[in-house]
Amino acid sequence: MISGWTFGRRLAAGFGFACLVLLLIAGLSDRNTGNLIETEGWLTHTYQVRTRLADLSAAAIAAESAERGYIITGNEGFLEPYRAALGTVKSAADDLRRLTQDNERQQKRVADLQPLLDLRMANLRDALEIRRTQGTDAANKLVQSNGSLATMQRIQTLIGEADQDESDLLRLRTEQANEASRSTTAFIRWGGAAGIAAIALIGWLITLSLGRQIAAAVAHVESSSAELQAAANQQAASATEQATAMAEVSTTINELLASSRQIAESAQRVAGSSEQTAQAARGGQGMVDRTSDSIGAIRRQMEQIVSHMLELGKKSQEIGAVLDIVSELAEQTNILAINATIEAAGAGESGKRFAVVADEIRKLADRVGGSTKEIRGLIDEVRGAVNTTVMATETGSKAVESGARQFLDLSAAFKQIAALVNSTTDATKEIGLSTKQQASAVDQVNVAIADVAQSARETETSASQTLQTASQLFGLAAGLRRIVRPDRA
Amino acid sequence: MSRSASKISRQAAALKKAFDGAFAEPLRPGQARGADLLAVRLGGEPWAIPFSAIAGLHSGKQITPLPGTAPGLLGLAGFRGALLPVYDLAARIGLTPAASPRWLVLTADRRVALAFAELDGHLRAAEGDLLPHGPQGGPAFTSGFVTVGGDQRPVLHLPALLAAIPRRLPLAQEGNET
Repeated sequence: MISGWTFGRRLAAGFGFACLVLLLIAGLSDRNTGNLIETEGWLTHTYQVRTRLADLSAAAIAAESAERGYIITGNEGFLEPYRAALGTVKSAADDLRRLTQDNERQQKRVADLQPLLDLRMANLRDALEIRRTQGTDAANKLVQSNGSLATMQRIQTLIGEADQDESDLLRLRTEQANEASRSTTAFIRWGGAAGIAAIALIGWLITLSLGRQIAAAVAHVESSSAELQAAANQQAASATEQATAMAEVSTTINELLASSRQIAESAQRVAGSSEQTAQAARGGQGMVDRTSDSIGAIRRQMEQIVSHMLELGKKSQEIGAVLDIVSELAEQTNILAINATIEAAGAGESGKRFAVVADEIRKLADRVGGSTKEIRGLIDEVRGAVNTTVMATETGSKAVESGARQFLDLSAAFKQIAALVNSTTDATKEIGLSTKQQASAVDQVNVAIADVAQSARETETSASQTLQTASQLFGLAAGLRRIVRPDRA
Repeated sequence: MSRSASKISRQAAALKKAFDGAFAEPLRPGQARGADLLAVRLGGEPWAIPFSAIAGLHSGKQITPLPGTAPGLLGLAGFRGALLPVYDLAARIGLTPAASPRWLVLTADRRVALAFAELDGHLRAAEGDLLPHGPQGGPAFTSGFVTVGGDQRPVLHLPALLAAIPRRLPLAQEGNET
């Protein structure tokens, strides 16, 4: 994933991580310092409590000393410390009550101490008043009898216990402060070292990663420079070849131009020939139409011939039927003649004349029968000839129909030829026009070829410059590689 | 076509001339006329029947079949008001019977009719053309041979043939006699 990061992202990530480490170290140092300051605050607090305890004890003792001095001497001057001690006792007690709010045990002591202090201050006030009003003895008696000594001892005892308690707290908090101070010092020392090590590691990793990537990029640049050199060389060679080829193409184009002009002239001649061919085709079309009419007449004649032949065949059949009758009559005549001969033979001499007649009739019938057979043969021949003629005529009629159809096709083909010839004439004219346009276009191509040849020469110059630039780029890449990886230079 | 028509016309004219010419010749009494025979084909072979043995030639007569198993008997046919038995001539002389006999000859005694299929026509044989059988004899029911135009035909002897036919039709015989 990191390999796909950009340089800026990698640098930002590295410095961001370093800042995070420093922030962590700073945060932890701040917390330790805070703990140290807090511990120092508690030490100061303990000192304040002990100071106020000492002030309270001293004020109580000072008030008692002032009482003794006034009782003994009656000098009002001793009352001044007394009055100052009263204020001190009150303020010290208030401060202690406020300062020990976090300590329940000390609060209880302050609570126990406050009535004792009030009692003791009342005893002192009473003793001073008695002294002022009743004299020293009364005051002494009162002092001896009101238990002030025990009260004072109790007050001192409580103050001593509180001070001892604060002394223990002071010792404990002093140890905590020392421990916090050591911890903070050690953390700052080791955290700084770890931060420096982490930053150094990040720097090393970034350097390593970027160095590899830059080295790879430099290798690519070197490879690309080499390829660019080869391509520039090839491009220069190609440009030279292209310039040569363009010269050859220009020569060929000139020849093509001459050919186009010749084609245009030939197209004009072909157009003239096509026009003459079209006229001939139109004349041929008229002849084809007349021939088509003649074929139609032939076809109608053939149909009439077929009709007559069929009629002739029918008549032949009728003649055959008549011949059957004639043949039958001849046969019956023959039978009659035979029977007459038989009868004449039975009639004796008188039947001889009749026998002669019967014999002649029989001969005539025989001859008629023979002639009938002969005529039947002739009729059969006629019918065969008629059938053959009908078949031949039908075949001829079909051939005429086929010829007529083919002639229609021929006529259509002639029309198509005429149309095609017209189309060819138009196309030839278009070819002539197109060839002229082509010649003009070839002229333009010739100019364009000259431009291309000029471009090829410019490309050759550009390729030389590219080759020089590629060589410089290769040198720059080598220098960059020496900067990134001097050991591999 | 016209050539055939003129040929037929010439033939008709020749026939008319021959027919008329025959009657123009004078009658010569005592002139020998020879023997008349009926040329027939039985079983595909040429045979001859003398006119003297028959009483008439008929064709296309209706033959009514009769029950029975008499050899060669085809049935009955009417001849001038008489019913006569009709026999197949080929079958009676031992040849293959005709499929559809069309021709009929009435025997001279007018007792039976004999049927056959093919009629060749009329033959007039000179006396030298008729030859009797030799010592070794000839086919059954024949009296000899006749040779006309190079063709030799056995001549049927109808009386012998009729003798072999049993008289089973007395009514016909009586009718014949009447």
